[in-house]
Amino acid sequence: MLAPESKQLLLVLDAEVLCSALMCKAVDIPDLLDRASQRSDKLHSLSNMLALELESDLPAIGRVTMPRPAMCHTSSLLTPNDKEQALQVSESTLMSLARSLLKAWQYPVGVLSNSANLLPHQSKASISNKLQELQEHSRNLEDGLDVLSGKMGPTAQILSTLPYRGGSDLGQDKMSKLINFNFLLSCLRRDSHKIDSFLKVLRCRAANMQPNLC
Amino acid sequence: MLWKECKSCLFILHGFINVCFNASPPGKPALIGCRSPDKETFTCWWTPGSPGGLPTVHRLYYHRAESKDVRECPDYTSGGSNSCYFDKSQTTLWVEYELTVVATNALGNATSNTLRIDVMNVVRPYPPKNVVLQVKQSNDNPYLFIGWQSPLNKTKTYGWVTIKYQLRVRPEKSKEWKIYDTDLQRNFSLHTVDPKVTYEVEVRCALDHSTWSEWSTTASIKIPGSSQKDRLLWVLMLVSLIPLLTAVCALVVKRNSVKQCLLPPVPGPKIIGVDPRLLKSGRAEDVVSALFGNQKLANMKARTEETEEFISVSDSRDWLLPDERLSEKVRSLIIPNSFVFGAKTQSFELEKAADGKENPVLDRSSSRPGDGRTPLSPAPELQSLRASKDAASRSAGQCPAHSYVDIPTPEDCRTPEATSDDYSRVKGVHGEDVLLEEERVPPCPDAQIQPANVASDYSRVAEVNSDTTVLLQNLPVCKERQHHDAGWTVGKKPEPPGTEVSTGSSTQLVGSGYVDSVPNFC
Repeated sequence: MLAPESKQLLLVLDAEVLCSALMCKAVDIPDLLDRASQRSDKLHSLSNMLALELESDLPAIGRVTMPRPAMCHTSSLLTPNDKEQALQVSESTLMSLARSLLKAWQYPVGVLSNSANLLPHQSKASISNKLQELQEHSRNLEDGLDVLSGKMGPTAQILSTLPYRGGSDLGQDKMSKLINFNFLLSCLRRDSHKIDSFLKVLRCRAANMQPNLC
Repeated sequence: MLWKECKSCLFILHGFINVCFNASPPGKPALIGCRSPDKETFTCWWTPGSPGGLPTVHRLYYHRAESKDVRECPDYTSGGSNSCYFDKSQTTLWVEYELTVVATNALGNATSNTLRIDVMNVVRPYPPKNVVLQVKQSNDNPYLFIGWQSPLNKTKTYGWVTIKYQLRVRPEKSKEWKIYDTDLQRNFSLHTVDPKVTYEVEVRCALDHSTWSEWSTTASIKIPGSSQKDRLLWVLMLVSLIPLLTAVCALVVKRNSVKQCLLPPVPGPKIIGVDPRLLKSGRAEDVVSALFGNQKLANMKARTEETEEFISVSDSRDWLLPDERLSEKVRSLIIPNSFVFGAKTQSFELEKAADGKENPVLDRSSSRPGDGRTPLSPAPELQSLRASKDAASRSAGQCPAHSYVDIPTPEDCRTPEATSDDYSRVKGVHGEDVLLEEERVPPCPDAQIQPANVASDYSRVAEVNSDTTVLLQNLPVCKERQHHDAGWTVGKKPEPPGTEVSTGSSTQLVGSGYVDSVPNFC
């Protein structure tokens, strides 16, 4: 049976613990966003390099027959496409979108990584290495965003499913392998740019009093 | 009616004229490409085909990939001629645009190639602005500070766009650029710069891993040679050289005295009354005159120094030997050892005695057959000299000073540097015997008056048995042994025949002894 004074003390202590927890959250997010955006920057850099490297070797016929970007498996996800929209959308939504995109690429990146060695390309070793690195960054970022979204509210937790229907191999013959590889990498480049842009906007918005200047 | 006919006529005429002057439908224009400098707007350019001689109008049509809604370019002027500018509201990222240009003139039209672009892929910023170069100092070392501005007007480092920078530097005359990444920073400090060299700097940037912009306009600056510092250094060097030069001059001028100071002359053996120069010549008469016939005795002052003798054979405190016969005896006891005058013998002062003996020694020394000594036997003469001098000194009541040949000082002039430890006193002469005094341990003579202490060649006489026997004594060594090989090259432990003094006494050639180990005095 606790005395009233000690009860009050407990309450106070509880409140303090809560408060400190909240304060911890408030400090954590910009820092976490900082780290997340650094990782997404690296991710985009890798995918950009890969896409350009393969594109340069693609014969003209390949470029013509390559599926259009609208055919990317993530195209159905509606995302902000310019700065104004990115600043208008809520932070939780942005986080949800980034996480959904990232999740959608978990499997296809694995497929790409596995197929790299079979790729009829002269620098397939370097491509394979980059893909492995990319996969690692992707996983790390996913974990980090999971933690972040936990601090941002329920909307951030929503994940849109964007199933990949490409199959585990990229084609039977040499040309279709190359074309599919190129197509996937171009889709990946677009989506990694989206993720990177969204996280950087989030970082700017979280750290600034005047977000419209982001 | 007529007017209408005229119009058609004119029209036909016009056409004819055109045909005559090669008018044709426009040539096909070509879309070059597009560029988005800020990830918010973009501009596309085309090159027109041949104009066909007629005024031609170009129109750009586009539609976004997902929609069929074809639109015309909203702005043909902002991007310059043959361009189409898409502002913020018209720009959508991550969406494919399909663009075509149609050229139209009076005679027809021509459609360009279709260009498919994603604005994300055409992002390329313009070069950074206002590249500023400054030379700054850090710990007396100059470094180059480079600053520039973003090509965009945005103020925030992070956000919708992330700009990173790269610069390159080279010395004016070099062809090789050195590239540095500065990431998000808009300035850079270059420390590896050399003075008096002009450097050129260019900067470029990229947006979100886009293609790099063009290099900015070249900025150049000359690093000032630290002329002030150099001058100061030179002045200091000259100033410090002056005393050095004067010192060198002084040394050269006074080299002799310097030599004297640094390399003091090593005193050669100085025997009073003997002129080593004469001895050096090697001629018999010179030697003799040097040793014996020293008329300069007359000039000798009553210097009290030369009361030192080889052997003091006095048995009394007052060991002056007035008796000439005694001195002869004493003389005979003294057989100086190998007495080699070094080449560097200095001209020693000839100690003068007021009353110089003519050449008493000469006869005596020559009368001694057994004395197979070298002519260098100054002892006998010295002995007598000393004796006389001693008398003089005694009368003068002065204390003996020092000379090279050790001569014990008279008792009442005992100084701490008395060299009496090298000699035993002769108590007295009894008939043919010389009685020596009790031995005692004298204090060690000071280095100052430690002239040629050839004591190592001599032993103390303990007792004189007969006129053929001298007992040598084991002298207790004094506290401080100071040997003074003042220029003498005395033969080490000369063991001439007959060392074993007949009685076989311990010929202890202790340093304090002074009897030559060849007491061959027959």
